[in-house]
Amino acid sequence: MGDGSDPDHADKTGRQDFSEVRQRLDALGDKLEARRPDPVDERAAKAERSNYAMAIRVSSDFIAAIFVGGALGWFLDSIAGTTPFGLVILLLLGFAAGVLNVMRTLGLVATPKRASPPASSGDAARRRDTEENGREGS
Amino acid sequence: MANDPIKQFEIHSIVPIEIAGIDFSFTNSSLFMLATTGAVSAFLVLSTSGRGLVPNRWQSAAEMSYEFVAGMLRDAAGTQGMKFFPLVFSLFMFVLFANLFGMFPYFFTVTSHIIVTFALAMLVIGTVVLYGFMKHGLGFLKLFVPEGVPVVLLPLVCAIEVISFLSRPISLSVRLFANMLAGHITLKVFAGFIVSLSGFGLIGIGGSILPLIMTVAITALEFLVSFLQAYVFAVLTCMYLNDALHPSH
Repeated sequence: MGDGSDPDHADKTGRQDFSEVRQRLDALGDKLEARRPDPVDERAAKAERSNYAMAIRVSSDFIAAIFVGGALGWFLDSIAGTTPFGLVILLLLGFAAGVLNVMRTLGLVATPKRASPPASSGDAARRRDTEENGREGS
Repeated sequence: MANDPIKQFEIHSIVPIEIAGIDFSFTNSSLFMLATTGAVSAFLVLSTSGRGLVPNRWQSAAEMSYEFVAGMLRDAAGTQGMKFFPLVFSLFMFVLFANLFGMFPYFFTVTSHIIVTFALAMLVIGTVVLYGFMKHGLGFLKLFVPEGVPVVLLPLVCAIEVISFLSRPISLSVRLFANMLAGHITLKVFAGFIVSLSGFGLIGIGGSILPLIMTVAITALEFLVSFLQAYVFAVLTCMYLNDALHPSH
């Protein structure tokens, strides 16, 4: 490349330089490729991480609803003196809410919300969110 | 005993204050909350004080955190959601810095106490409820009435929706608290293995390399969890704020 000053061989050297550059580029590309982490490997690690994250998120969603249902029932019972019916009923409702939470988190239930047209952006956001749940991690 | 993995979460008062029989002591938890807010403020104020058109590294980091949270909020709640940006950004930075502060040896992890995370979650849900009622009046209650449900089932579905809504602050706070608590206990337990194993002579010292490797790996994982938890907290905050902005079904 440095000898391009010779005017007689300008064309030839130019072509030579080009092939040389091409060679060096290829070599560099190979080196970069070798250093790049294996995409499959990385993806597997990511999936594993987000699985763990998802497990925690889902379980906390589920348990929280049951806990709230039970606490609410116990509280209502202690006010109204209807022990134990409030606790029993609200615990069951809490269980149902927990299942609903989980299915919403997993995106298994088409959320009835955002059915109306003005909130279409919210709908998109929610859908995106369910898609992102995987990488969101917890 | 120094090996007790729970000891790091103990709260002790530094400056005892008592007003009307209620304990208002300045504790190590308060100290680290102050340190967290101080660090966040210092980071943001100092890094942006140069106001360079071409940002230097610190300014770039501050701008990145801004862009990150702003993008998150805009995605989840739309442009109208940006009026909550100060809240979401403060929450994100506080939780992130508190989590990362906890990664220093001998530091106290503020977010490993459920009352702290629960207070943060209640702040979010309180904002959602207040703003929802202020903006939509009783229309906010439509949040609990899904469309296209038979009238017979409506009371049942409403009750389930209400419980589902009430469970949000619980799951929001429990998730953050449990992650930080469990992570720090795991770290401490594995680090404790190194000490107790190396007490068994030469073989023990050789064997203690295994928990040492584990500890290093878990430390890396904990840094990841610190960031992820702050991110999740902020994302869910954005989602709940979106409900306050558009409760219509």
